[in-house]
Amino acid sequence: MNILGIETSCDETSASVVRNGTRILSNVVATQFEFHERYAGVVPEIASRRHSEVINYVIEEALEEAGTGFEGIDAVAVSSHPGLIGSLLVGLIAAKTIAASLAIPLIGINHIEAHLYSVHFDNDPVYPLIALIISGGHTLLLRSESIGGYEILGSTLDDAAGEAFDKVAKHLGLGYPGGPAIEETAKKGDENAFFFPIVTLAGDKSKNHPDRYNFSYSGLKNAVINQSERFKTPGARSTACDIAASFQKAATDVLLIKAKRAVKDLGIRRVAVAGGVANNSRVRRLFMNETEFESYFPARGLTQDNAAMVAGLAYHKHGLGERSDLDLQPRSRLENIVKGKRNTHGK
Amino acid sequence: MILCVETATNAFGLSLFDGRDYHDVETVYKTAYSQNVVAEAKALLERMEKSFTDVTEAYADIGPGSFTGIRIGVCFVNTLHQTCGVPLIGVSSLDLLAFEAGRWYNPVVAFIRSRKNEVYAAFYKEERRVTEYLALRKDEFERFIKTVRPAVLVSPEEDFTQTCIDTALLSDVEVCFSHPKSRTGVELVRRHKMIPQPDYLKPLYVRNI
Repeated sequence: MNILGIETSCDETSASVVRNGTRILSNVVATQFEFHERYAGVVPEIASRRHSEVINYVIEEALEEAGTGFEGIDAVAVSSHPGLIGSLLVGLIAAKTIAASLAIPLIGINHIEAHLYSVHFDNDPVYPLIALIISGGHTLLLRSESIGGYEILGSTLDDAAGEAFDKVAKHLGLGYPGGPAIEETAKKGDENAFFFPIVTLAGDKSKNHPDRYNFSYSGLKNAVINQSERFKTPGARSTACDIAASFQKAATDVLLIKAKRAVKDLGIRRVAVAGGVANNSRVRRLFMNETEFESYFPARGLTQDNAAMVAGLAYHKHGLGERSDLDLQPRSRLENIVKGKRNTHGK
Repeated sequence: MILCVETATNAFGLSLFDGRDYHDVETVYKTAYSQNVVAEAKALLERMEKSFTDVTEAYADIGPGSFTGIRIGVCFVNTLHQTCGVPLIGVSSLDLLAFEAGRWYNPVVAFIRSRKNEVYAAFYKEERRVTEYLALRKDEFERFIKTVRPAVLVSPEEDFTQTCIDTALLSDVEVCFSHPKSRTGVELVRRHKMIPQPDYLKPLYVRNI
């Protein structure tokens, strides 16, 4: 079964054809970095305009690369939430039109579930597992019982991890997107030159603290931007490379701390890490070297937003009989999905 | 079977023309209703016992107007072009307004309110546009209508129209309150013998972000 996936939830326009949920026949991603670079962040109206300009060409390319044409497509899947409404709408209208005009099933997909599914292409994960979704728009710690189901344990109270990378990179004049720029610069720096705060919000022993699994990056970001000198290790140098390396250390160490806390509390010794920040080499090294749990990462090409993860997950949804109507609407917010019940996440 | 969608303002419209009669979805005055365009089109076709494969041409309002609304209409017909090979024609919201008003009046200024208290406007004589599509502040718009001295102002913005007329002291200007209509799109294309474009439609953004 071939499923055409479409992903436009933020600033990447992507279309992909995936066979039987596992074999990626094509995965075309059109990035918009150059259009958002001067703002050092995603501008929703610019993102929507670019999606609208390229969506049909991206779909064309994905079908051509897969060698299926529309004739070989059995269903169309699309990210419907969470995300930027104007961006989601472009993908939704395209997917609905394909479904209606070709008389094939439409499957709306939760973007976060799709990121979590991205680890399935290169791993055979065992459930239940702890999941960490880290990107420019999300920093989420989840417990997942099976494909397509999760419970939110914690999320960021302010900036997302990737957003903090973008803002610090902008401050240091390293360009956009900030993740790869910080990582590259940090290679030449000393990560112990500065002792930036690792914001855990709650101590390890505070079992019932409401922020036990939550994250906060605004304090770290402000420490780097406004008060770097204050956190300087005595005698250390003060270069952009050192600041980048020290920031990267603080920003990524907290991810491991929170994941280990969930592993220990819930007794689940498997952690899936996905989203754009999962591409960071320090994050991969930290988690892969950990002995208390097994880690699953997607291939590097599948960490950013992409439609292969949408089409792959849709295969399983289709198998469960899930279909969407043509009145499927975009939603900006995220929901808990636990055993078929949905609760709007409060953040 | 010609399909025309109107999503540039909060008055959603959709029409099918079978060469003799029009079959319309009743205009829906509701913000964001254009998100339902695919379901509405499918339902209208089914009422006529037709499907998307029976559509031979598709027209969409390319703006100026609501950025999101225009993108929805354009994305819908572009994807229809992609799946079914339907030829496409884009029509401007201001042209639609002026065409309808211009049947009876000359000359015409058509305008639609933009964000930030600006308007998109164009000036027409004898059913032809004689200026560029303009994005004007209120004071610029007042100077504009004083200069071109239209016989009629046509717009979906009733309150704004009267304010501008009062300020510009054009008491002899007739006000036509209207909104772009999908059926008018079909008539405009036929009247001006517009031909399908070879590629996908692009929204008409008069003003940059």
